[in-house]
Amino acid sequence: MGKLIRYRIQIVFTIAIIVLLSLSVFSYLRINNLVKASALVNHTTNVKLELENIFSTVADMESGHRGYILAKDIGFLTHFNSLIYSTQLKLNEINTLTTDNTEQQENFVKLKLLVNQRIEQMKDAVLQSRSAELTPEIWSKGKITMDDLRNHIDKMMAQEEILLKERTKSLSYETVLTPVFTIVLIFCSLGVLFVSYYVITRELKISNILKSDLELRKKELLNVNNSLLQSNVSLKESNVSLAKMNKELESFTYISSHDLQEPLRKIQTFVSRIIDTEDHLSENGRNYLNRTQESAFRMQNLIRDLLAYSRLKTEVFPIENWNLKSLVEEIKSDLDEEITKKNVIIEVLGESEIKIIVSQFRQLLTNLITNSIKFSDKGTPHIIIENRIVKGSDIPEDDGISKDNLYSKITVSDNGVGFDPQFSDRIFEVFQRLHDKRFEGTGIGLAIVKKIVENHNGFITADGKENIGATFTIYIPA
Amino acid sequence: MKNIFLTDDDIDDCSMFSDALNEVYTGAKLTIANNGLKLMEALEQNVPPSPEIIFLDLNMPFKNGFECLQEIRKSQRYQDIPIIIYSTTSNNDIVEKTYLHGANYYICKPASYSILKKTILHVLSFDIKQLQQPIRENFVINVA
Repeated sequence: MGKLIRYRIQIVFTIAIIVLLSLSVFSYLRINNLVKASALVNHTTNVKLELENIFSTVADMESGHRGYILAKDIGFLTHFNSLIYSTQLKLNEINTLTTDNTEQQENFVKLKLLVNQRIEQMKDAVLQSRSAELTPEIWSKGKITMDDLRNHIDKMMAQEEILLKERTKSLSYETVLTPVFTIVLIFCSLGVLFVSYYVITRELKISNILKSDLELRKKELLNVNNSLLQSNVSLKESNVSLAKMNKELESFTYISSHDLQEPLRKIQTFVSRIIDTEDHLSENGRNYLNRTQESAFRMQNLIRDLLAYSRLKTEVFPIENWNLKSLVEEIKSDLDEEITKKNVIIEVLGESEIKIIVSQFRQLLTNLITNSIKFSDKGTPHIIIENRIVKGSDIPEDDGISKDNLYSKITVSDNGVGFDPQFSDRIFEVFQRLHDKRFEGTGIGLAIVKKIVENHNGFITADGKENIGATFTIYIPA
Repeated sequence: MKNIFLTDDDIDDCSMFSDALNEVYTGAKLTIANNGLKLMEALEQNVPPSPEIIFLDLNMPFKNGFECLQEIRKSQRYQDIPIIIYSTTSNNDIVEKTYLHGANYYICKPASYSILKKTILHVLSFDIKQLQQPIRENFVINVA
């Protein structure tokens, strides 16, 4: 922005300087012309004056030499002689003054000739008058020369007169034009000045507006920055406290993994030892011990599942390409005993290829399958696992789903007791049990499932109808 | 005559192990140390002859099972003695760590006395002289 303003101001000033400079040059030429014209007029006047001068000098000499001839007074002669030199000076003067004019130069040559001729004649007359009387021819000869001189000077004067007229005319022309031109120059300068003033003020105004705008923006940015810094500080603080909490959770995990398991295991071992070795137990006593053992067993499972759940958060595993069918086969062989006991049918349909954290996804499917078996109630449990590739844009949820990517949609459905659809969300929370103690469980299995799906950057939904079955739908990036 | 060492700071576990051993096998000589320091002292005093097996708990005061395992595997005198880890935890990371440090087997302390007996019997059935570290999948002994 500032660059553009500077550029515009530079242009305006350059134009102004060019205009003023050219006007000044013109003006200088004008004045120069005026001065010249005036000098020329002066010059003509000088020439005329000199011509008059030389004639009057020659006339002076004329009367001087006549005076001498008539009166023989040496004073006249001295005066006459002094004037000879003076005429030469004046002739030189005229010569110098007329160097610029060829015609007058020619005239000058003749003038000089005439003047010198007359001077010679007068000298001769003076010399002659000493020895004899002067003849009338000499006088008339002198008069002729004198008349010629007179005429010649008149001619020269006339010529100068013509020049004078011309030059006076040109002088008056210059005299009129120069002030006009000066006024024009002044107005032009004023105009340029005003335009420059206007342009500069306008640019300054614009630049000021932009500047204040910029200041405002700067202030806003500063404010935003400050608030960002503040939130950054608070984020850092909460990060620290989160890290602290995480550490506490880890130590809690360790406590549950070791310190809780150890006494529990001892209870179990001692109880099992009593049951195995003590033959004198009453019926009641044996019953209570069996129930103690069952409770301890449940607690052991609870601790194990809690540990598994908490470890899911902290561990990071690679995602691998895997075969869904072979994974289900592995799980089937792990659960062989239960599957055979309840005649469970497990079908796998659709695409085989999935991208998973293998150990975690095995846990996920194991949990869902055991869940389905557990809640099968009466009849033959039938579990269908299906995998389809879908586009992100076809998924009803939009929580963290990118529309352009492909997803594996894995559904696990059964024909078990199902659940009331109003519990679809609560079903994934820790210790949320929808069924009575008839179905044993720790209430952590589905929470683990959800956590695993989240570790895959996917999400899971549950649909259920009471006494008809449940369907779990998992979306993970394909 | 079997010469067996057990290192465990838990008195209940020690007595349970001793009882189970006596029930499944007569004529074994069991030396019990209550922590890692005591185990190293006992080895210092008794070797040779080397014990045929050391059962080693991990979580113990003064010197824990990992330290003992590392020390024994580094020592020229004891490095060939078979070591079986005998611990409450089934944490995979810990199992892995003991495998890498050269333990021969891993037993997760069972919650049932009868399984404890079966486990001990299983271990005693090994040919101790040719006891090598198995592949990772067979490292944890599970007789249940």
